[in-house]
Amino acid sequence: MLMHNHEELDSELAETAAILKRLQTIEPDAEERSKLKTAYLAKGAHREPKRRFIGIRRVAALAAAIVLSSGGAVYAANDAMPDSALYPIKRTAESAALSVTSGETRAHLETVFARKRLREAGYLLEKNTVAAKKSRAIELLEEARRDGDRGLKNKVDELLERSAQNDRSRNGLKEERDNPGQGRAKEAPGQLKEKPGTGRAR
Amino acid sequence: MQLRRLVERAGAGDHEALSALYEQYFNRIYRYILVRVDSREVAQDLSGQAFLKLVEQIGGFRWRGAGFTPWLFRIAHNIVVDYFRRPREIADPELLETAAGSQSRTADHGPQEAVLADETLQEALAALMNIDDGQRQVILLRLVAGLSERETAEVLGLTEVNIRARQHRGLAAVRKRMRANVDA
Repeated sequence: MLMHNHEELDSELAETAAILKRLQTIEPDAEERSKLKTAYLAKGAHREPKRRFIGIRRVAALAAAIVLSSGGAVYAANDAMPDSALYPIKRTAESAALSVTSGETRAHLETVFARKRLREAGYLLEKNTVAAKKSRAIELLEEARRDGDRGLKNKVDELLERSAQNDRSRNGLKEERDNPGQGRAKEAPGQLKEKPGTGRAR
Repeated sequence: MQLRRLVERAGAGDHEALSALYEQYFNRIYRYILVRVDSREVAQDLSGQAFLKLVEQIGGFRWRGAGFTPWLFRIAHNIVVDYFRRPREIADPELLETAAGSQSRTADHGPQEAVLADETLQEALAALMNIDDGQRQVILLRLVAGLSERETAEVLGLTEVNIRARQHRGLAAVRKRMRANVDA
């Protein structure tokens, strides 16, 4: 009896389920469905594929992998200066690291790299007076200024100003050599600054 | 095309894959929402929202467990929940009437009108709206949307054993109410 009632119940429940399953034959309004699909696909067309961004630890792991796979060339290039043959490898590795980061991690890396540009620019300005190297230094400073934080931007401005003053100073000395007695008259008072500690008075 | 591959391509922005997903799932999502809300127009609107959310989020989708189907129905479920949370006037009789399809709200929709004109089905829907919410959710996903036990379990965050139990009790409750209406 109990089994019969159980079977009966199962049968009734199956029948109830079958009734509700008829809802699976409901179709939405075709025109509305089509309009909604158009809007959906239009949104899909404007969506940028989501890039996977990774944190600073994974960047470090990625950098290590790049170093190993490059046979150490990337490691050797880490401190390369702009006039070194390894410098392009260094810049490529930095770009690779930036491409897989976003948000705070990316901002941190940009600041680190901006400081490197500043050091590189300082190196070129100290070492070379050749115009081509000089203009490269200016480019690096502009990068540092663009990507760095406020403190870094101030340092860049200082370096640019110092470079300009050094140029004016060299131009003034060159004029003096080429045209003794005339170069000094062309200097505007106060433009030529003393190097600290030289003790020379003008 | 295998669903997993389709979803991957859609996640990468493939137009054809996105279109295929729409064709495969829209009607099921619509039916599921229609039975839960108070009008065909609302069901269409919310179904549209569900697919817009799909586009927004599919790029970040990672295949876990039963995969894409529960993920999409979870989106639809949440949209309906949010809809009901908004302050609006609704009474149970209206819910019953529009879910079953009143003459004033359902113009000619072909198969839909024929289905909803079925008196037995209307009684079953009326009973369904008055049973335990947890049991109703299971029945809607299993019998209206056609999800498997595993998929339903993932949408609702339950075990498959829970799903079977709720479905059984839910159907028993619906049946009991239908009989009570007949006997009344």
